[in-house]
Amino acid sequence: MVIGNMTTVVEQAASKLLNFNEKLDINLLDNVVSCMYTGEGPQQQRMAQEVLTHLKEHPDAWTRVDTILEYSQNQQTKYYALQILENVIKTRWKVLPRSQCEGIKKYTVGLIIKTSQTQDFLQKEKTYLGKLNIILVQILKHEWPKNWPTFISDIVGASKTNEALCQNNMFILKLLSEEVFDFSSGQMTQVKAKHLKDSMCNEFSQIFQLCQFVMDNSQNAPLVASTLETLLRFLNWIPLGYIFETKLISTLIYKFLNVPMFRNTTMKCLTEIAGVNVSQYDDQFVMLFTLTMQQLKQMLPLATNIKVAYAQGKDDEQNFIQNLSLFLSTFLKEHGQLVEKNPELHPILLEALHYLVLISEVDEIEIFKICLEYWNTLAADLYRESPFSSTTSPLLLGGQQPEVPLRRQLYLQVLSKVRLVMVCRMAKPEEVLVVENEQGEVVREFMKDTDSINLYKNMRETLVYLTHLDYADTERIMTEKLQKQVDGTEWSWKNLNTLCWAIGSISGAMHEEDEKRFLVTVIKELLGLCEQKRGKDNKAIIASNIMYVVGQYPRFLRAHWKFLKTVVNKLFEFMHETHEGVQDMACDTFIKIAQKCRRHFVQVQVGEVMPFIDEILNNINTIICDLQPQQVHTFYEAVGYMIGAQTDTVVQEHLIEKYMLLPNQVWDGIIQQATKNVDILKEPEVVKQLGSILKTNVRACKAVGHPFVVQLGRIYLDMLNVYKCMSENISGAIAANGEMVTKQPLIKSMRTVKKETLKLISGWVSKSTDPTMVLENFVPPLLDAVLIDYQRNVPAAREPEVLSTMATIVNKLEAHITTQIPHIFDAVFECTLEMINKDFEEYPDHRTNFFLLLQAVNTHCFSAFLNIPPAQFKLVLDSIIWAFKHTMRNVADTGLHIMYQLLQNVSQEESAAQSFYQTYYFDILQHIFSVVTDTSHTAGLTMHATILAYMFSLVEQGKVLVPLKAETQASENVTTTQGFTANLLSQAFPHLQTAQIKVFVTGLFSLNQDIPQFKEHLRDFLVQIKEFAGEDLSDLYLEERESSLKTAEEEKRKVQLAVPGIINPHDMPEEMQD
Amino acid sequence: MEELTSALASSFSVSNVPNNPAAPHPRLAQYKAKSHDLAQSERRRQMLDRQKKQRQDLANLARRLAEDDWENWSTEEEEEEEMDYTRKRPNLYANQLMLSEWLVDVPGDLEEEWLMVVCPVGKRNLLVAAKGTTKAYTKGGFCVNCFPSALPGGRKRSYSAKEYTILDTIFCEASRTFYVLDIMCWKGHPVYDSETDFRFYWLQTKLQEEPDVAERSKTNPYVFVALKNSPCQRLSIQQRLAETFPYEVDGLLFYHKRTHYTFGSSPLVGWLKPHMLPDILGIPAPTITVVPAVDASVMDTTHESDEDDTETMETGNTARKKKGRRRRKKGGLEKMEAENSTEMHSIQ
Repeated sequence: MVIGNMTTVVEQAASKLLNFNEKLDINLLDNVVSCMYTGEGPQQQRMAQEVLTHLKEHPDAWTRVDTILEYSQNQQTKYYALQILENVIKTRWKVLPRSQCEGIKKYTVGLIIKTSQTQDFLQKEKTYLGKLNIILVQILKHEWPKNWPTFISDIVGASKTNEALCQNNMFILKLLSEEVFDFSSGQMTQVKAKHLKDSMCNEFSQIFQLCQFVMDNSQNAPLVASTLETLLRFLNWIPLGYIFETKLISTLIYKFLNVPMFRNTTMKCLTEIAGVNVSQYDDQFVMLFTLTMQQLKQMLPLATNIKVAYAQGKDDEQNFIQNLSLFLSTFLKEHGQLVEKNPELHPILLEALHYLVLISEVDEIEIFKICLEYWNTLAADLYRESPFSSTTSPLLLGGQQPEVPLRRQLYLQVLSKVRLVMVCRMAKPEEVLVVENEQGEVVREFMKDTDSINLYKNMRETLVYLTHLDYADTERIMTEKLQKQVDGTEWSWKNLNTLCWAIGSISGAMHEEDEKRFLVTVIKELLGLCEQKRGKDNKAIIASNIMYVVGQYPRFLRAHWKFLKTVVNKLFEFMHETHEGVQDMACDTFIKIAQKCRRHFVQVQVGEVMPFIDEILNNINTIICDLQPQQVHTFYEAVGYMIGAQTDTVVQEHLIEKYMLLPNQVWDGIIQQATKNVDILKEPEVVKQLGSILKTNVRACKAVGHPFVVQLGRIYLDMLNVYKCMSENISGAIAANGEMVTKQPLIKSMRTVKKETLKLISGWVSKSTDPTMVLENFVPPLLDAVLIDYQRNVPAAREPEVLSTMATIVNKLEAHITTQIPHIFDAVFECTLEMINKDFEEYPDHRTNFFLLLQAVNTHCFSAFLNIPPAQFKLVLDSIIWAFKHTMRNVADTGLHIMYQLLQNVSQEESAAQSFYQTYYFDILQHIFSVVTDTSHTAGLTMHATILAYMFSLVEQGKVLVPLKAETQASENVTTTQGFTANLLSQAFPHLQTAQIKVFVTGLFSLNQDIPQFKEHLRDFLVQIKEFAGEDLSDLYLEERESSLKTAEEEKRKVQLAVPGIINPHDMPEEMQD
Repeated sequence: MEELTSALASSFSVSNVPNNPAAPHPRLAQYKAKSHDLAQSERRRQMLDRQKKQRQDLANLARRLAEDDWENWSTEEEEEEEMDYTRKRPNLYANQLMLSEWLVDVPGDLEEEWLMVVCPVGKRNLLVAAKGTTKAYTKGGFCVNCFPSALPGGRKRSYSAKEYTILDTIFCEASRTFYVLDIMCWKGHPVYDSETDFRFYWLQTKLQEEPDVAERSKTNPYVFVALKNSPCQRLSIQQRLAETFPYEVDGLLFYHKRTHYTFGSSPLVGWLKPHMLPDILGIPAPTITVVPAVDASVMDTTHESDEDDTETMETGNTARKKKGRRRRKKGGLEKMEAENSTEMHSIQ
């Protein structure tokens, strides 16, 4: 009832507000607005919102704005009115009568002037004024300079009348600068942006004078602050003379840098200037540096402990440190050489570096990254200049020592401090995430792309360069830090971890002998530390670190077999350790070492009677008996790497047999029982065991690779039978109890068995080396078992991995499997399409994999497409089009790639191509344009451009030999296509003018050899479809665009002419024909 | 390098377990540990002394393990060595098993006061049957399996709140059998602080009282077999080892008859591999005969191949190479009692 009432009330309000013949009831509007913000319950708020949206979208809504702004008592209503205004300016400005435009313009300017009269107003009406400013800038984007040529002098003139007004004007100029120079891409057409930029540069002197005037004369602090902010936006584009040929730099440094209120903006301005890279102002750059440093030393004495100061500082002070780091690193990176060249400046340079070292110690990762980037560049630079160490190994006696280069001498002391910083702050090299997978099992995942890992990579690189520059110093620092762990002065888990990550990071950077000496010391100290510390937690941390360091130095391990063997045996010991995390650490280290030293385990080493792999396999049951299933799988993978390294096939086969003995025993047992009574495969314990065995096989196969064929062959047929059986059970359960049943543990484990089976097969196929063998022995039973089952199943019981497995097989076997494609498609194509053609969301994995399969077939077995019936081919093409219409990014991308590849493939087939073009060319064109102009597909613009450019050039280059339209000639295809496109677009966007479309279509042809430009051209068009253009198109500079397109066309022709034969002799200019 | 390798091999550990069976036997190891520990014999004496004084609330522990109820539980009493406690709740199912040390000092009273158990190759599990399901935990307290069993408290139909069972077992995956090593609690009655003698007797009788546990069925998918124990006279050991075993032998556990069931490594339980017998006990290396695991619940009548039924394993330092031959199970499966409703059990 209540809701019913509400609805009527709202409906009445809506109809009243939307009736433009009636006088606006401002109170009613105020009520609706406040209802939206503070209404009772979401229902009411939503209805209010609807009314307001409705009103806003009404084409005449803007006529109400002045009334609202004048009479409304509610700030939110006023803000709402401004949104209406902004909307009309953005989209319909060109179709408003000029007089109205002038009216709106004057009204806005008047309002701004009124609202920015005093400092008080500026504060109080900050949001409102801000919005007004934005609206003015939107107007300017249309009006200036053409309809409002005096804007700059107007605003500069007005600024001189009143300081508050001037402050707001600074804000407007800042906004304008941002709109034109920073955010213009995709918001206005390229030509338009260029015009605005030019206008701004041309008229900049007035603005500059205004800024200078304020900076020189004003005592009004907020005004000065805004002026500096505005100037900061200008600095990245203004003509350089304003910066370097005026007193700007010295004013900034002398007058503002040491004033706390201005120092941050000033520092940013100086950084902006420091980032300018030109050669004619060397003296000014040196001055910039020396003056800044001079001031800086007074503000921030060189002896300051910046780390502490930062930690205790206020926001503003912390920002200053960050800005300072940006200034120093930017200046030194761009102009460091100027300072290096002049010995007199060296003391200042060292002071600057001193600051940077101190800032590098600050506990704020973003600031550290800034410094790190500079240290990385510096270290890399110095290393490349002379890739020798400053100190040398005592082991390299007698050799000629190269002189330490002069430039490096300057940095020696600083570099040592930087080394210390890197060692003390080394980031975490790997991150493990514990997650639950869809089968409800807890699994550990190694993360690849986290912030911390990227930081580690950069730090590692820097420290490696630094080590190359002086490895004795790196060694000294690390040894000293380690000593402090041992003597307790710096002992903590975090410090120890950090140090060991650092030690592990420079693996390979030292000479082998030095590395050995260093490592022996490190490990000895760490072992001592482990023995010395009490408590399992302490010992476990130290043990992990020892194993981490050891695992990082495979060269060392490979050179010392007895040590390597002892390490591995110790890891086996740790696999029985119950203290939390130790077993994981042991397994992770084991696999790391197994990968790097694999060969050493399958050879008979000096002093041994058999290869170590035999010892492992003899004791495998005992070694893994306390591990969790996940860890057992890791263990199997590790051993698999070793077995994969055995090159003697016979020996290898024996190893594999022994390796898989235990899982095979369990497997055989189950299979034997199942042959007597298949119901055993419904028992939860059995299904779980099968899943686990298959997982072991998957991991083993991943490591062993192709030779795993002996094991796979052994279980293959039984496995496929088990697969079918599981699948039938699942299907039956779903048919009987509905899809909910898939959540049940037993069904989940049955699906695990299916998924692992597919994973094992596709994993092995992708590593196989003998396509014929795969095709003859493994594919037929697979197709029989898996595909038929897939087709027969209820959709919910179909595994998406079936599709990805097929894709893997096609990608691997390539043309070998072409003959089987119809068979595969019969089984999976239509039934999958049925599942995914209802919407864009359901069955996302099937969706993704389906298109990946299509892509694989298109890439490798294209001829299969030519042999299927036309109806089925149409289905394939339709599904490709369906793919690129998805908003799921990966699916749309796949779709576009398939489309592009398909077009290229088709063009290779003489006969098929022509009928293809005749049937589908315009169809495809139309669908591509529909995604180009859809804002939810902007991410695919590059691919859209690529495909369109390709399609247009097909026509242009005369590759289409049949007429594209009935009753036309093939020779007219270019015109036909242009006509089709123009027609298509003018129907889709009736608000566009013919001239706009004409220029656009012309560009589609003249730019089709230059994808980036073609893409920008599309972007320009997208800007245009957002607004009504009206009669006056001068703003779009269409003529200018046309002439530049013409130039592009000529350029293209020139390029083509340079390639003999690329232009039809009949189209060649006369003078080139003898 | 040699020194470093030796240091790594001998004195590097996390738990500091004396004579840790996960490491090489101290007498046979290549790298000798410099031991700070008291002699094993001395620690045995101390442990038995302490056992007399100490009375722990083990009935409470058994109930908590069964019900997974850890409210107001403090773990301080269980570890004597000092350690920084981590913030996380420790895994309460960890360290609930009595583990062995290598048998290093041969006890003078071996023949009178010790019992021997021949252990199969497999995974050591703590088994808790309670509240209608049975869970298997690793030494580290990780729950590896969850299933129904005919043990008291272990399956839905026999479930009553008071009935729970806690066993120390070795799980043999291929034969899907839990070999029961020791018993800690039966039908809610804890026997932690009973002596080995009694526990072993209890284990044998109690398992016999529940014949269902030895039959494979839908509600008892794994079978339970109590491991035999035997006296430790030289001759008895030799006789025992001359028998045939239904499982691949991993090693021998020696239990002191007077020890209670304690947690973690104990000097009152000793471990030897068969090939160590000559070195440690002066008993000739046995030739162990294995009749491969036959599914305990059913016997297959058809022998489908002429392959050897038995495989023998030479033990001893010289011949430790294992045959790579695939062992085929002779087991079959009788028709299961048809049960119409398939019970769904959660995996873990």
